[in-house]
Amino acid sequence: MPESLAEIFRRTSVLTDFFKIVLQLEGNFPLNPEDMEALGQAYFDRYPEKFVQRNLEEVRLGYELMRFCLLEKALLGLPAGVKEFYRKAFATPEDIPVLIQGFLKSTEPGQLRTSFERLQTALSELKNMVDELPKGMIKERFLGGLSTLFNINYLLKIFIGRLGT
Amino acid sequence: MSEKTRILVIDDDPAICVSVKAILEASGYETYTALSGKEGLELFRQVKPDLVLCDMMMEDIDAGAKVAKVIKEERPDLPVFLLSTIGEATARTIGLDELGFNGVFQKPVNFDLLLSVLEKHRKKS
Repeated sequence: MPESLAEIFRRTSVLTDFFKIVLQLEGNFPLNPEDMEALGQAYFDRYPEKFVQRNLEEVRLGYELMRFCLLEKALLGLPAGVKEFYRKAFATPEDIPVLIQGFLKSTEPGQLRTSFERLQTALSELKNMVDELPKGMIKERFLGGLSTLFNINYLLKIFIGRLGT
Repeated sequence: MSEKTRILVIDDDPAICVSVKAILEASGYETYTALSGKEGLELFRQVKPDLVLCDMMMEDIDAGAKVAKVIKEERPDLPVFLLSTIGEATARTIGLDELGFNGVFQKPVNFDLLLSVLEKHRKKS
């Protein structure tokens, strides 16, 4: 059985090491609601929540952690070059118009639209799973991470829509 | 050239601020972002926005409500919307009006809906 994200998180004390390991998995890891809860618990064991004078750096790490894992899962099965385009688009949304122009030098607009539809479906499925999580701070971090992905997805929709038919 | 409608976005997650700003600017709004309630209030006084979108949990769990209260004291007519993960049911029970919010957009935000609301507040050319 593949190592879970929670197990990887617990054995890596530095977040960048966790990201490197998960990146190499290319989305081949389980991420159902139970896995989300386990990862969330591992995160809160390391960075306990405070409700007054919260440590915003730790809160932001939580959003970044969940966002990263959700995106890698959503990109599962896409060709390497397409994945790289979306990773860059989600990392620097302000550069999306330029990234799309660069991507279209080697790819047909139709292929971009097809991969985008696939990504939208994957994100919707992940949202349904996040919705299943019980109310609480783990769900809050996942919703925070997912929100950015949905925002950037909407931005991609705007710019891909402007390409015309 | 007409003056653009100014939106102030206050959220503790930089990725949310950057992505919301990119969408609003692609939709023709002048957008400012702040990463805490404190920074948000400073920017509110500085840029005099036409509308504010504000997260609830930032440096404190109720930082957004504190921001909305101050804004409503200084500019009672300014629309302030909550961006939150609190859920529809909770939103109905916490008394958004009393907290100073004109409404709530649940995260992940439905931008078709949000942009249609913003359109009603857009400055006429």
